[in-house]
Amino acid sequence: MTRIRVTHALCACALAIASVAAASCRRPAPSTVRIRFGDLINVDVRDVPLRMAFDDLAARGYTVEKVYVSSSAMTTDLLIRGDVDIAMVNNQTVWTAIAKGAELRTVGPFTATTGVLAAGAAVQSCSDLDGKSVGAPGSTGLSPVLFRTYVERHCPGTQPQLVVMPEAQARTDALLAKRLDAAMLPGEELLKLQRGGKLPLHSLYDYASEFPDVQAEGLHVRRDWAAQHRGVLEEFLRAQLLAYRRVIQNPQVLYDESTRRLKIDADTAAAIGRSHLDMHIWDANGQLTDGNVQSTIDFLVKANAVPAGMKAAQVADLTFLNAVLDAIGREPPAPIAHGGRATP
Amino acid sequence: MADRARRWRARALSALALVAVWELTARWIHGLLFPTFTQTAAAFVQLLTLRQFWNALWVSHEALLLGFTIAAGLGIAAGLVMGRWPAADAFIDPYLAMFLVTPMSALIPVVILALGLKLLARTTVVALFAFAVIAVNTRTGVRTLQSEWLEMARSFGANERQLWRTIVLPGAMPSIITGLRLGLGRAFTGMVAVELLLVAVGVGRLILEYQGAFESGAVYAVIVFLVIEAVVLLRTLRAAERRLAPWAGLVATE
Repeated sequence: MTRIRVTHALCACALAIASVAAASCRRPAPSTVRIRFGDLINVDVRDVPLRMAFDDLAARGYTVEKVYVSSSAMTTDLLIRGDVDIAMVNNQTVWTAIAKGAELRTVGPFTATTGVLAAGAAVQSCSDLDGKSVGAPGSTGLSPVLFRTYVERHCPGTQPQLVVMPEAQARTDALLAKRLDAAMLPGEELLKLQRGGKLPLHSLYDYASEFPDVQAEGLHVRRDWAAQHRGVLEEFLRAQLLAYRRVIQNPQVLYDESTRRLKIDADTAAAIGRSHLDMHIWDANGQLTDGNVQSTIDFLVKANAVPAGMKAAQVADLTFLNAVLDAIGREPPAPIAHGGRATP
Repeated sequence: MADRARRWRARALSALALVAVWELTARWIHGLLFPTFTQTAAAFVQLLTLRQFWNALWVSHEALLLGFTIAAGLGIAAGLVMGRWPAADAFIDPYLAMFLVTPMSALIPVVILALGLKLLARTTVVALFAFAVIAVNTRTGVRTLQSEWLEMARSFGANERQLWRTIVLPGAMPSIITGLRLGLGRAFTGMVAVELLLVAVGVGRLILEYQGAFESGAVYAVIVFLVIEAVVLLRTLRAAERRLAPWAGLVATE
């Protein structure tokens, strides 16, 4: 009798364990899943929806560890070495690494670029840049390439003096001290300066409207990690797109979250948020397609910024993003920012 | 002679060990930003053939040369005056102490904003990096002169000019040269820091460009070149010290 009871008890235990195991097999056990996310140090309003997505992932049991690094090259190297799983880096840096043999892929969007060429009163048009000092984050990379293209398009023959200052803060300070006549800055930085009213600064052009189809930044992974963590990556992209849709549908959420997370005043948060939303920097469908990846590559090849012959399939794997879009549905496309011009 | 051979053997072994550790570590880490020794060596050879490299080196060394010369002139003068006259020391010392403890990298933006983005600002940054350590070592050299020497010279009727020429300057020479050696090291740091952190020109810009293109062998080749150059210059100063002050036995420190 006792033996039967013990047998029944053991069977019940085995059943319970099996049912728990079966339940956990249906969905990955998120509490055990850690995602190491590599990002650049400067967190601003552009990052807020992604931070909201991290909170959603955390609520579902994922642990998102943020690793902040000061340069795109270093972030890319961390990704290659497996010290981070997903990284937000500019596409050109990652694609250059891929051309050198790194097993990385672009899998998702970040935002449209918000960079602007901020200028003082002396520079009102492209041709005014002749002989003027222009602060740039680097002599290679996307920003100077875009700048050169802008000059070739609007005022060919104009010869600005490019002053390379890697730190955005340094360029801002030099612009305010009138040591520079213009500088490539994040759009948010210019907005803050304009609101501060320290100098009459304006945007000569913004990248998003001048180059609407150039995909400057994105989310990148190691190929082997993505293959082994397909579900995790899709959950990540899903949370990201849903957060983007939330702020697009309800801008107040963006303003409130920006105020709370970045410790900026509500008016500034709303002004920056409105500007970003007007430029459609967050895309409800993730913005990335094989077509615009290829056109970005073509643009970078033309500017000698990545090796010739590169194809979209070599650098991007959009199957994860497309699977998520299939699951959550696609939204109607947003109008082109500022009625922007055609892609180069 | 045997001693010398043993020392060279030890140095060669240490260099071999360094190369082996470097090569193995780089292969183990397997990142795009940490090249192997062999990649670096190949890039180094190629670097020496590039006009772009020599141009960059010239741009950087303009600031180094001018900045270090200014720092040496002002630092030695300030150190001599402070060491010789306590009143001057009391007047200048608080500022020198400030110079010593202030992280110079934090001053770079201020200098750039005040003086612009060109050679003047970079020269000033290099001079600021090197000045304090030269001044402090020079002062130490003067202060550690034995007072009996000065008293003896005075008792033989030496005037102030003769004191300087025969006792103060020769006596302080070893410390002055030690200060120059330390200052030169700091000047190199200042030169690269300003070019990497604020205005990317010269070798700093080259390093950033190579880093952005994942040409890590070339990044390290530039750094190795600067290290070799600095070591050669420091050894030259040491040789100058042996020639100018063969009596040097004491070593002043920062």
